[in-house]
Amino acid sequence: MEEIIDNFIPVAIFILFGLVIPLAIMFIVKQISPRSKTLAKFTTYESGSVPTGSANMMFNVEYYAYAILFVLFDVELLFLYPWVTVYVNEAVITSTPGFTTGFSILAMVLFMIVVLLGLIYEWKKGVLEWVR
Amino acid sequence: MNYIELASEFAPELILTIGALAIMMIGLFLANSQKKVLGYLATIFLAVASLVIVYRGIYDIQMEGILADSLTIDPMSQFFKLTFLVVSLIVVIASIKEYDGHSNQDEYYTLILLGTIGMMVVASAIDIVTMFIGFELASLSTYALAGFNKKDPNSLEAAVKYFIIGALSSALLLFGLSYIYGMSGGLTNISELAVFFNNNPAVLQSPMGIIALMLIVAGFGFKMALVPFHMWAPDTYQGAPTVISALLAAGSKKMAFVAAFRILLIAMIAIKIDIAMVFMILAIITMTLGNVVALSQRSLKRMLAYSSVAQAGYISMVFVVMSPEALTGGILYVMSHAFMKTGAFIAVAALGYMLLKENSNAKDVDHLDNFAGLGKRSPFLAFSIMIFLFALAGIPFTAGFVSKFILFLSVLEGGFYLLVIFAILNSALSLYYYARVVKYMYVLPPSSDEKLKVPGTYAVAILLAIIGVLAIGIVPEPFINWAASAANVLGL
Amino acid sequence: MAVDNIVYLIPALPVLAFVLTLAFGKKLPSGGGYIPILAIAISCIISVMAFLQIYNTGIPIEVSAHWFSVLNVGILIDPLASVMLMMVTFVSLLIHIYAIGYMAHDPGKPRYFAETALFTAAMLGVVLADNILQFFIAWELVGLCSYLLIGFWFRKPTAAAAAKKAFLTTRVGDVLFLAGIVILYSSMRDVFLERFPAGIPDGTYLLQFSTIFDNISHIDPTNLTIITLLFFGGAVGKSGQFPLHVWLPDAMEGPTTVSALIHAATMVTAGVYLVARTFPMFIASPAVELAGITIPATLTVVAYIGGFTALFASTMGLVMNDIKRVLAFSTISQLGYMMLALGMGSVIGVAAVGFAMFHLINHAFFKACLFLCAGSVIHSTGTNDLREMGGLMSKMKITGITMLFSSLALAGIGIPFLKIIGTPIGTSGFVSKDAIILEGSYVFANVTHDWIPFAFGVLAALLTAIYTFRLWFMAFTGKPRQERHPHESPATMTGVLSILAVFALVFGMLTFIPFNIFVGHTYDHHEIEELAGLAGNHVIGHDEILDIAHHASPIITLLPVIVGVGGLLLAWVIYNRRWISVASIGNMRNPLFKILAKRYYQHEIFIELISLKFTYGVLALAGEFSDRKIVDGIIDGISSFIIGGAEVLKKIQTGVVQNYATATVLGVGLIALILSLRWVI
Repeated sequence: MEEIIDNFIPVAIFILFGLVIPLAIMFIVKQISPRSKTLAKFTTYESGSVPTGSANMMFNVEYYAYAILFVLFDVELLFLYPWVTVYVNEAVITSTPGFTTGFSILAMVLFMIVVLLGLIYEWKKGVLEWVR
Repeated sequence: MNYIELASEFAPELILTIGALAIMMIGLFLANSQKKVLGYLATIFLAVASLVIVYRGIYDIQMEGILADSLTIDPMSQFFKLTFLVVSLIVVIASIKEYDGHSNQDEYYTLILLGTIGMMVVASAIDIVTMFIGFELASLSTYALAGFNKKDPNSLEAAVKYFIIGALSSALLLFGLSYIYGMSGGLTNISELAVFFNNNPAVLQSPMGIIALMLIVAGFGFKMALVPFHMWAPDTYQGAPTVISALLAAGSKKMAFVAAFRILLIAMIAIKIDIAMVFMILAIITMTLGNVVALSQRSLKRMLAYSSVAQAGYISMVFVVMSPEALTGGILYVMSHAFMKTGAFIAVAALGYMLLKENSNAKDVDHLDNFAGLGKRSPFLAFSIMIFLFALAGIPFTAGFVSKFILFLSVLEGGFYLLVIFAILNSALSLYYYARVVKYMYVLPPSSDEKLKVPGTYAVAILLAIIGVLAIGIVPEPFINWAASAANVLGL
Repeated sequence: MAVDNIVYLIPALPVLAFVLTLAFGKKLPSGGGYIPILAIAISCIISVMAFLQIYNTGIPIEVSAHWFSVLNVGILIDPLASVMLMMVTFVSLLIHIYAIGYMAHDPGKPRYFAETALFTAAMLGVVLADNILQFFIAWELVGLCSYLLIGFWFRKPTAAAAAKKAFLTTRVGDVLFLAGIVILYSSMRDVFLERFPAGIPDGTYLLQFSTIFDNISHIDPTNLTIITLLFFGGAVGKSGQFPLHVWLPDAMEGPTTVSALIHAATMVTAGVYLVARTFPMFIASPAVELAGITIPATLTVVAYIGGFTALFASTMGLVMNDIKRVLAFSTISQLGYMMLALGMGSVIGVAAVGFAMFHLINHAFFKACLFLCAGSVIHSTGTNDLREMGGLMSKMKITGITMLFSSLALAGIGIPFLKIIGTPIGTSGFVSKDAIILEGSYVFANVTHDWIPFAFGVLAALLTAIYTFRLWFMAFTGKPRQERHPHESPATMTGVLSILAVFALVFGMLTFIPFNIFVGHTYDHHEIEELAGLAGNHVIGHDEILDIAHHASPIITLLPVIVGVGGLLLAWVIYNRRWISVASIGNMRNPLFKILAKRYYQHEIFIELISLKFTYGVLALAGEFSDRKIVDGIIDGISSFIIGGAEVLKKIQTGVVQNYATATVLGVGLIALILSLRWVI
C-alpha cells in the first residue's frame, strides 16, 4: 500500500502545480499590471473591430470529415514515434522472445496499408471534394 | 514464435480482417444492384473462419503467452469465438435479402466483420488492455450498425442511446480497470494479477478495490444488460434493424460474459464473496424485472429484448455460485441463447421484410397483432418462431432446456435455494408471454388469407439456428463436454 | 420378442396421427377423425400383445436409451403399466369413434381430433415412462392438451376462463411435483456419490424407476417423506383431490367427449397412477419431524385426503343441476376412493395398488359411459340442466338403459355374500368399491383401530347412490319438462354406449381375481414388506387380508350394499315418486342445502377471504388498482399484480437517454450499497 501511494506522489505534485501556477500568475498579473478603463476596453475584441452578424453560423459538413481525417493522420503519426524508438530498438528486440526487426517492420507496414486503404475509401467516396 | 506461426494461430481473425478490408474496397467499384455479392463474400469469409476454428481444435487446445502474454487460445476462447462466428454468419445470411440493393452494403458487412473480430479478440484476451481494445472495436462497430437505417428515426434514436450509454459504461469500465492497474503496481496480465491479488488480498479488499469492482461490474453490466444498466437495451433492440438486434443480443452481449469470466473469476477471485453478493442481487432483480416487463409488451422485438435481459439474469448466477458446474451451465447457456435469440430475431426480421414487401407503408411490423394467424399464412415461419420461443422458455428437447437444467441444478447444488426458486418461478412466468405469441400464431385468425413466402436466404439462416437449437437439445452430451472443458480453463 | 421392438409405436402412432390430422384434417371427411381412430386402434392391439407377452412370461418389457449420462428415455411395461395401457387405448378408441358422431356439426373438427390424438399420445407417454423425468414431461403435455381441449370453444368466455383455471390450478400441483423431482434427483446423486466415490457407473440412470426403487433404503427418510408428499401434491392437482379440486367441475365447459376422455377416464387418473407407480417410495416414507413439526407418513396423508375428498365431493354432487357437473363431482369423489385405497397400503401392502387400479379401470368404463350418455342427452335435448329434462326414457331407450347400467355400477349395486369361484357377483363398481371398503379400509381399521377412512368410504357410498339415481330419475323418468323433441343419437354413438355399458356391468366380475394377482406382480411382495419396515409399518399378507375380511360381522359386509340400495330407494322416493317434496328440501332457506349449493362457500373462502384478506394484505400495493379484479380469483389477482407491476415498471423506461445514464450511475450506487452492507454485517 505504501509503495502504491509513493507511486502517486509525482502525480499529486503535478496536479498541485497545475492548480497553483495559473492562479499565482493571474494573481501576480492583477497586482502589478496597470489598469486602463477606456470604453474600448469593454468591447469583445480589444483591437477595436466591431463583430457583425450572429455568432451561430453553419459550417459545411465536409469540414467535419476533414477534421476527422486530420485527427486520424495525426494519431497515425503519434503512433509512429514510439514504434521508431521501441520496436526497432535492438535491446528491446533481444529481450522479448519471438520478436525480430522484420516482425516490427512488417507490423508497421500492415498498419500503413490499412490506413492507406482507408484513405482510398474516403477518396473514392468523395469525402475529399470540398463542395459536391 | 515467429510471425508465420502467429499468423496461423490467428488465422480466423486474419481471414476476417482481410475479408473486411476486401469487402470495403470491392464495394467501391460495384453498383448498388451488384453489391449483393458482398453479402455472399462475407458469408464465405465467416464460414471459412469458423471451419478454421473447428479444424484447429476446440476441446484440448492450450496456448498461452502469445504476443507478449496478451492473448491465449484455449477451449474457452474457441468456444466463444465459434459462437460469435456462427451468430455473425446467421446474421449475414439473413441480411443478404434484407439489404438487397441498399447503397451502403459495403460498410454494413465490413462493420459486421470488424465487430466480430472485436468480440473474438475479447474472447482470446488475457490482458486487460487488449481486452478493452477488443471491447471497443466491437462496440464502435455495433454503434454504427444500430443506426444503419439512417432514414428511420427509431434506428437513429436506438444508435444514439446505445452510443451515449455505451460511452458512459466504457468510461466506467476503463476507470475500474485503471484502479486494478494502479493497485497492482502496473500489472495488466490477468494471471499475473491473480497471483498478485491472491498474495495480497488486502489490496483488493481495501476501499479502492471495492471501487474497482463496482466500476467493472457496472461496465460489464451495460453490455450484459443487467438491471439497472439495461435501460438502453429495449430501446436499442427495438429500434435497431432487426438482424442487428440479433447480433447485439446474441453476440456482443455474450462478449461481456467471457470478459467478466476472466476478469472477475480469475483476476479478482480474492474477493469472491463480494462478487457473489453483488451478482446475487443483480441476478434476482434482472431476471424478475426482465420477465415481468416482458409480460406487457406488444412489440415482439421489445419482448425479446426484455427476455434477453432476463436470460442475462440467469447466466449471471454463475458469478454467485462460481462452481465448475455452474460455469459449464453458464457457458452452454451462452451458446444456446445465441442460437435461440438469433433465430427468434431473424424470424421476426423475415416477417417484417415480407410485410413491408406486401405494403411498404406498414408500421410496427413486429407488433403482436401481425403474428395473428401466422400459422396459416406461413407455416414454416410460425413453426420456427414456436421452436425458438419454446427453447427460450426451456421446454425439453431444446437447447434452452438443457442449459437451464444444468445451470439451475448447479445453483441448487451450490446451496443457493432462494436464487434457484427465483429462477424457476421466473421461468414459469416467462412461459406465459412466449405461449401468448404461439397462441396468436396458431389460434387467432389471420388478418389476410394471402400466403407469405419466406425468402430463401432467411430460410437458410432460420434453419441454421433451428439446427443449433435442436442439436443441443437432443444430443447435449458433446456440447456439455465441450462447455465443461471450456469451464476447466478457469480452474475454479 | 417381436413386441419389444414395436412398443415404441404405441405412443408414436398417435403422435403421427396428430401431425397428419393437423396437416390434412381440413381436406378429409369427418375432419380426419379416422386417422387417430386407426392409429389408436393399432396402439390398442399392440398394447394387448404386450399384455399377453407379460402375462405369459411374467417379465416386464423394458426398452431404454440414454440421454445425458445419468438420465434416460425409455419404455417400461410392467403389469401396472400394461393394464393402464390397455384401458387408455381402448377407452380413447371408443371415445374417438363416438366423437365422429358427436362432433359431426362442429367446424373445429380437425383441431379437435388433432388435439385428442396428441392427448392420447401424451397420456400413453405418462403410462409408458420408465423414469420420473419423462413421466413429468408427458404429464405436462397432458396438462397442456387438457388446457387446449377445455378451452376448445375458446370464443365462449366461460370456456376460456375454465381452461385457464384448470391450467393454473393443476400448475400448483405440477410445481410441487417438479420440486419433488429436483429433490429426488439431488438425493439420488448424493446416494450414488456416497456409494460409488469413483463416479456413477455407466448405464445407471438416476431417475429411472428401477434405480430409484433399488436405492430407497439409502435415501434420507426425511427427504423421502418430503419427496413423496410433493409427488402427492402433483397427484392432488392432477386428480382433483381436495383442496385443488376446484378446476374439475369448471372443466366441464369442454365438449362432453373431452370430459369423458380426459376428465373422467384418463388424465385425472394420472395422479392415482403416479402414486401407484412410485408406490415403493410412498410405502417407505415414515412420519418425520421437521423443524419441530411432525409430518405424518405420506400414505396416511394419502388415505385421509382421499377419503375426505370422496365424501366432500359427493355431498356437492347432491345438489348440482348441471348434468355434467354432477358427474364431475362424482369423478372427484371416485378418485378419492382410489387414493383412499392406495392409502391403505401401509397395512395391506401391494394389494392396495391392485384395488386402486381395479377401481380406476372400472371407473374408466362406467364413468366414460355415463359421460357419453350425458353427451347423448345433451346432444338431443340441447340443454345441460337436469330441471329441463325428464321423461326421456321413452324417446331415448338405448341411452336410458345404458345409463341405468352404468349408474348401477357407479352406485355399486351387487349381491353380497354370493361368490362364484371366489368372484363376487355384481356390477363392476360393486366389485371394486366393495374391495376398497371391506378388504381395504375395514382391514385397515381392524389392524390399526383407525375407523375414519372406513367411515368416509361408507358415507360417500351412500351419497353416491343418492346423487347417481337423482340424476337418472330426473332425466329419464317423470313428465317431459320442455317443449323440444328429443331423438335417439346416431349408431356410432349408441354402439359405443352399449359396449361401455356391457363393460360397466360385467368387467368387474370377470376379471376381479386374475386382475389383482396380475397387478400384484408389479412389485415384489417381500421388497414391499421390507420397505414398509423402513417406515415402521407391518404389512399383512394376502391370506390374512381375506381372513380378516371374511370374519367381519355380516352388518359390516352388508353395509356397502345397504347404503347403495338405500340411496337408490331414497332417490326413488324423492325424485321419482315425489313423496317428499323436492322444493321443501331444495331451497335456499334450508341451511344444509344452501351450504351445499354454494359448494361450501369455497369460492368465498378460497377467493374472497384468502386472496382479499391475506394475499392483498401482504401485497397491499396490488390491492389499490386491482380491487375490481379480486373476485376473479387469487390467481387472476396475482397475474394482474404482475402485469400491473409491469405497467409501472414500463413507465421507468422513459425513453430519455439522460434518465438511462442516471439509472446506470444509480446502479453503481446500488452496488456500492450492496458491498457496504457486507461491511456492516
